[in-house]
Amino acid sequence: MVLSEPELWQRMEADLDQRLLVTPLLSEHQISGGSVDVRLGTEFILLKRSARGPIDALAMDDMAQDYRERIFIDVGDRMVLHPNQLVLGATLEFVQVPGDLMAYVIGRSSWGRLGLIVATAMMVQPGYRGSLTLELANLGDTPVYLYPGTRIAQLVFHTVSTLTPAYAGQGKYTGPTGPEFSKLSQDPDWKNIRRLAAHAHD
Amino acid sequence: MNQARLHQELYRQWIASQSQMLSKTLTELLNELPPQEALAWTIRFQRPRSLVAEEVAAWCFEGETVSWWLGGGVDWLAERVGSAVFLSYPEPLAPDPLAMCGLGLVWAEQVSYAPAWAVSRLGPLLAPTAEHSGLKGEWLARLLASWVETYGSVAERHGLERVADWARSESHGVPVDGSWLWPKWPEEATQYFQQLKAGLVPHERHGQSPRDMRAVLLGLAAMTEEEQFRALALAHKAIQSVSLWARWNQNGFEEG
Repeated sequence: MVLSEPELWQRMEADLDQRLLVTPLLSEHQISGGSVDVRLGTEFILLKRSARGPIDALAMDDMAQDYRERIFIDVGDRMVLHPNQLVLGATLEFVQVPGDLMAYVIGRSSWGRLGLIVATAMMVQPGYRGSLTLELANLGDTPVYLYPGTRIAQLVFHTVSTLTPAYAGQGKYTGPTGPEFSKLSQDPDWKNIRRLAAHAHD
Repeated sequence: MNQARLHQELYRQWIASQSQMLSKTLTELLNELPPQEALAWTIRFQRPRSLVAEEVAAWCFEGETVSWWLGGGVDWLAERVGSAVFLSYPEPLAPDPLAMCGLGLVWAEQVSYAPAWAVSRLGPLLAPTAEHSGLKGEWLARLLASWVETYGSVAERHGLERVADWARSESHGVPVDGSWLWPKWPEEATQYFQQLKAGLVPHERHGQSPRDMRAVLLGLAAMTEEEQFRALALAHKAIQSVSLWARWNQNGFEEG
């Protein structure tokens, strides 16, 4: 069931461990019609063309500085996103999703019509805390300015039927306050892939 | 060309090439310094910028007419250059906003109204700042004596027993003039402490930004060292929010 606007406000006043939190909420108009607008944050990870080789998920940290750079763009300033460029941003807001809720992130179509695609992990798990990393790509042919502080996506909250928060086993898990790079190399499957790769090269 | 002249020329070329990456105003200020000092400050100004240091400095110098420039280094340093001041901080401490309030203290040592500034701007934050920054000095010890008189028991009631004990052990000399008006201890600090302890960014009702940076930092100061280590990024996010909220709502702007 999707939470309505009055339910969203009510959830935001719950006790700390059950509180639905989206902070800083710069304007109460961000909550309207059963969704919460989130804004583009100020930190970005730029992905650059590497001169040394492709990204290898098996050894992702080896060349990190070669193809990515973390930058800060203040609210009021802007950065340009060139055609076919991918940049990782984050929501300005830090979010806590209570254990009995989950959220869907939906990019705003008004940006999409300019060629800017806002992709992210579509589902925010119950119990998540942190800013949400956004994958921003310009699929148009014209450069687009990105302005931190602008509304970039919406969160729609749903109740979940069984209380099994995804982060329950991780103690006081607190997520990032800015964009995070891919953690693909931490997948448990890589242990097997590495072993098989070693055999293949023997 | 002898070796001394060769090196002099190499230094000149290096400073000139590095200056291209600095602003014109900063380059002009650097030119007012002796070459060796200009070289040392040029290196500091080229270190990666610390957002925490910049935000804390902006808060410390709010309302002051001083033009300030920050650079990362290994120690605290302040130097007046013309009408500006160059400030350097220990870079490893940059993520700690309580330590970065030390920027205000090193600057204050350069001005005649240092105690008045520290009382009015840092107020209850003085002891946590002195502890986290590691800064010491005669005037600071006297200020700490005054801080203990003013806030000692209040700090204990708000969970800062350890800080109060530390301030007692570090304070000596005659307390500064008691007629100065120390700011009131912000009551919201307890609420922010609880939010930080719960792994959340400090906030007001419905997720609105905190209004008072001192309260956020006092909430951080009330945590144990281990908790503080985990909460630094959350406190930083709240500090950013305080400043953003103030700018966003300037002139009564209301978004539709």
